[in-house]
Amino acid sequence: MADKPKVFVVTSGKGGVGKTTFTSNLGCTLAKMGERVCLLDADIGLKNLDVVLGLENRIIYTSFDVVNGTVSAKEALVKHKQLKNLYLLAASQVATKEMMAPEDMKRMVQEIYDDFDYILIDSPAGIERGFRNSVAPAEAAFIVTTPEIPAISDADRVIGLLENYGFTEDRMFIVLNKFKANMAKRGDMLDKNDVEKALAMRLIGVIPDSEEVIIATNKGIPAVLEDGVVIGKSFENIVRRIKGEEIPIDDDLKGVSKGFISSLLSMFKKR
Amino acid sequence: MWIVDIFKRKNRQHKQTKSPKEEAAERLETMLSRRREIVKMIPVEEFEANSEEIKYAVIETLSRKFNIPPEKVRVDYHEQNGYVVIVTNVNFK
Repeated sequence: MADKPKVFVVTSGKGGVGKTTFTSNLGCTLAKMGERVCLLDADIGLKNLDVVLGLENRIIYTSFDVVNGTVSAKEALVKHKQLKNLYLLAASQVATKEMMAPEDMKRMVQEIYDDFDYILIDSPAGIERGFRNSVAPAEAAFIVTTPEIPAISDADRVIGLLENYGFTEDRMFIVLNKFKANMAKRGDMLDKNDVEKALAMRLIGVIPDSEEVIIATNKGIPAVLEDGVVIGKSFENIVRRIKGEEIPIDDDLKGVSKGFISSLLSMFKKR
Repeated sequence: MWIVDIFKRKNRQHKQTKSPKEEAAERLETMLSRRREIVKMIPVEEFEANSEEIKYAVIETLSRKFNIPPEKVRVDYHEQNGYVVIVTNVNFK
């Protein structure tokens, strides 16, 4: 394993916390910073990463074709429309997770390992075969959670499983997604300190809840590729923290609570 | 005056109940502190090599935890999906 991890699995246990959105936006942020990035969709049968990236019509081969030996992993890669150093290895919609083994995933990642600076694996929800497949080639893990009890509870379970797979604390990064600062301020929602305390681990980033993500997904363009989006700052900070920079976590939420005038201006801007 | 009374009552009720955040933090702590002690996966190969020692360690832990003699703890195990499932039976009588 390399000193600095380059193969990351994005996992959570619970579904709907934003793993695929996180994977696509982090991949785009890394690529924007000049890194060579490959996104690998491991959610076989329920794949969505191609849709979020707006590449669904460009898929010819999937990871299933690679495992079957029809094509090589490099031949199955699809280049992003805007970012020429960002690639996707799509998952099949007709295959099932049981048709692939952890060893197949390891072989596939090994094939492209030297061609990229970062490989991000989008894991399916749950802790069954799909999860085991996604974790097998990974050197580090992002555990995505939201500030709700079921998501945090599942994240804790996943941390326990990852520990059993040999992941050490410095290779597990907790991401708090869909954070509503106003609700936390009112005492209606758990805040970042509560999540850190519950999981006994530090957060690598906080991503504020944002309508921009829904709009971007509908367009097939990851939100961080749009100008002036609020979550862009969080993703940049996460990348810088992975690379070893010390940035206070509060920096992720700067600019979230807009003033009256800027809210009014942004309303006009949207129209 | 009755209007003032309503506000007073509402204020008192508000002070007595916990905020959703506090309640969630408490529930989470209870759930997670209980679970952390249970989750432990041992690969089959490791278990096969040290099965008797592991069995004894489980018995010892449980007898200490529940303050009962080791003879009252029975441990069985079987394999499932590549992992060992340890079934413990504690006789408290």
